[in-house]
Amino acid sequence: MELYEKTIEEIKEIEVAIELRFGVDPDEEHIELDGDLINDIAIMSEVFC
Amino acid sequence: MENYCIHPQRLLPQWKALVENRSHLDEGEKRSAKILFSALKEMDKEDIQFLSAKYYQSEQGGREHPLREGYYKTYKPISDQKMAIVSGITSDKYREKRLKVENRLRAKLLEVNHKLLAIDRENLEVYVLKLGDLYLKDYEISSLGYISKEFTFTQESEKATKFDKSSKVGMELIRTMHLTKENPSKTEWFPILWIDMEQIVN
Repeated sequence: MELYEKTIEEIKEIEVAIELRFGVDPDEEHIELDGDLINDIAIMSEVFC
Repeated sequence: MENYCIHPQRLLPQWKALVENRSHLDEGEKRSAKILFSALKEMDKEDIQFLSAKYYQSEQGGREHPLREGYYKTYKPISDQKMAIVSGITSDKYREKRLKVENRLRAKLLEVNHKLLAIDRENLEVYVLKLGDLYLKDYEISSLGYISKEFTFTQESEKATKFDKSSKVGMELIRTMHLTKENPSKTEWFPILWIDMEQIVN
């Protein structure tokens, strides 16, 4: 398990290094919406406040 | 302290774009999202649906996003005439209702703006202290460790004493003198005061 986590961490580091090397911005955190107008307003308010 | 936009006419055309670009917003857009969605959250469901029909449901893109191809920064609202037809009322009636709902949103935006600015002030890492339009320039601490009752104030924010977020003196001054925190980087312009020396001499 420890090896698995370490590998994942290293892969992430390599991804970031590649993104920086080629001038690509790393993906920002994805904000999942509900698809319902009222709920989505509440989600957006919570995320940005 | 930097203000938030409180104009429904400027924020509502951004509504759909803020949702679509939610993971790629710049600092200014995040501020717009913060105030717009906090204010909308406080509105009645009926008012939200009314505004959504005109602004959020629009398919007509406005200002193109400079960095995201195929995305927009704003959407053009559906015209009052079209919305009136869909709603089965006259344009004048629709416009009248729209203005009322937008005024209710404006009131919520003002409320939220007040709350957000208070939170921003609380979170300042470094701040200056203000009394009305004046900034606290200097104060003295007596040999016994209490704050002297004589203070110097200035109109120039850059000359004001800066306090760290954890400053006990700063907190004590706020508590006892009802001074308010302000961002030290803010620049304010005051009218130059001219004194007629001739009148004073005579």
